[in-house]
Amino acid sequence: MEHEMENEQELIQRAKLHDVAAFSELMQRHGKSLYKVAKAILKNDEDAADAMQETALSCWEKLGTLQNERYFKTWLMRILINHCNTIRRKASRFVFDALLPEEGAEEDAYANAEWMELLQRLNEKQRTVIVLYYVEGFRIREIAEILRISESAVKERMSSARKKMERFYTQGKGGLICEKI
Amino acid sequence: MKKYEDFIGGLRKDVQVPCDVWEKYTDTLAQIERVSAQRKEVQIMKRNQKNKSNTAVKAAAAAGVLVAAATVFSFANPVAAAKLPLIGHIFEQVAGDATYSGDYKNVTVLPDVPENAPADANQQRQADAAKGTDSGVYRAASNGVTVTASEIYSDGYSVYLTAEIKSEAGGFSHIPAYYTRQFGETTSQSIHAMGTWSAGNAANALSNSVFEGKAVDDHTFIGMLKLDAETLLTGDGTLKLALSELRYDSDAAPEGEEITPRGCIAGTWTLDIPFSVDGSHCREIAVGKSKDGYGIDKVFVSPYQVIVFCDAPYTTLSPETYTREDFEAQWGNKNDEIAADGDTPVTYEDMLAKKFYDYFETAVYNQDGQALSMQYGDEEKCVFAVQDLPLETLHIYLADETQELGLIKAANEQEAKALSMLDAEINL
Repeated sequence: MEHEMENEQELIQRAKLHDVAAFSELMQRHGKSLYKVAKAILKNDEDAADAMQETALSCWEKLGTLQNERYFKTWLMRILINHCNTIRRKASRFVFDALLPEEGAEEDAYANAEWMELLQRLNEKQRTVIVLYYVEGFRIREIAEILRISESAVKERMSSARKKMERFYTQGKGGLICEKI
Repeated sequence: MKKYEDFIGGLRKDVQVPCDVWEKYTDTLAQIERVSAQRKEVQIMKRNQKNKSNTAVKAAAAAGVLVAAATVFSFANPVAAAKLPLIGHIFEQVAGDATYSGDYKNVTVLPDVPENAPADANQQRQADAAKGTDSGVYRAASNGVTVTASEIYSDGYSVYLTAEIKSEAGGFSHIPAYYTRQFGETTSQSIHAMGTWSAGNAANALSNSVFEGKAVDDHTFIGMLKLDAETLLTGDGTLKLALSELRYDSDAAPEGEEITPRGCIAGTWTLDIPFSVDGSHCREIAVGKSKDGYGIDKVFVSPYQVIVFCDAPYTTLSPETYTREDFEAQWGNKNDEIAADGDTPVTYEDMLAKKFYDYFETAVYNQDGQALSMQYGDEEKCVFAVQDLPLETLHIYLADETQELGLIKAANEQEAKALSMLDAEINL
């Protein structure tokens, strides 16, 4: 792991000097992560591919501004999420966040997995923190930095997501359960 | 699959990127230099077009004074504050560690609760009404939890309220502490407040609202709540707070599981608390600088927050690209649910009128080159916490979407300046 990290830092340094081969290898390493997060936010492959493409371009153009190479992935995810938000607007699929309509599961093989259907029941804010935390392994503080919200807001979204999922399991419809203490 | 854990396990499954997505991505990587060059050409063309269309706006801005001291609020009500007996010093105890820290010496301290007062403020109000008196008890109890308001302050853009929250069941000592500074180890514990609030305007849902403070013991929490008004508050007002849930996390969660919620207490806590806007230590300063559709309009400075009001280019949906059919497909069912909940449905016209702003970021440094901590921003303003930094001169930098990430990550003011497209210096 340490060797891999050193290797990645070397790749970033070379990519900063606009070494195309190094940049390509670096971005391919993170390609799967970009796809999973973009898919969770945008829900369809076409838009996810656009977001990945735009992220690669932005990263190529702005990599020189990255101060600390250790934070590359956090920085990369923030770029991706910005592009996902832009795509949602441009595709006229933008809705007011708090009132996001819940779409049904898609018909492709990826979305047919039950867990993915359940993920789609969450709103975009909840899906994003769930994927960043559980799938990508970011810490709460890192997610707060990526999304530019407070740590407590990240945890609140995760708690809300969990409660909503629990309600789906127990009652079969959306909403929050409130534990009485 | 019947458990949340199964859902998380499913999420963690190795996912294969579909071939067509991966091909598009790797094609872009292989041609990154060419694609990037093409995009830059398009951006330059767009910028040139934008410059032409914004000439009138820029001329109007240039005609104004660049930096002019404008409004100093002076709505303090020291008489009202002075005649109120003390019940507590919660600001004093929590403000040093809170995000919006500072010396809250101008707060209005709410009157102490008499020992024989009813637990619920509603009962007290009924008793007051029967007697034709005002005992000034700002306390509400529900579901084993009592919320007692302690102090209140408003700088016009926000209302800051402190309260003591007592729970019969306890559990507050397990609330985890979070960092409240970008650098350093200052932390606070927090309880999320759900419900609605208003201060002389329409009721707003509490959103990302927390009592930030500390657990005094397992049953007692003290904290401050910052509520941001959508429109400027002036004079005397009444904060109407209707809490429906109090939520908090627990550090007693199993290792590796950071999100297990400890408590979510449902109830009804209603508090009507009078306050006076105190702008005696606040300033609002016109700036009026703009470039390429971006602008720094004005700055508000209070002892606890700096608000930079900005402009950014925006686009709107058009009936050609977003038809009524698109709207119905998107909002039809959801609007039925909204209406059923008693809320106002979203209309097609709402969506057409909605402005979609370009991304931008701002950074603020003081005269010593110290960065103020950015808390949140939207298309109209960015809010920074003062956190006890001395403020004599503010240097404000705005970066458009091509450099916004660099601005956030800037190691010092020189870097921020180099990355910005617009800046302003404000002498306070």
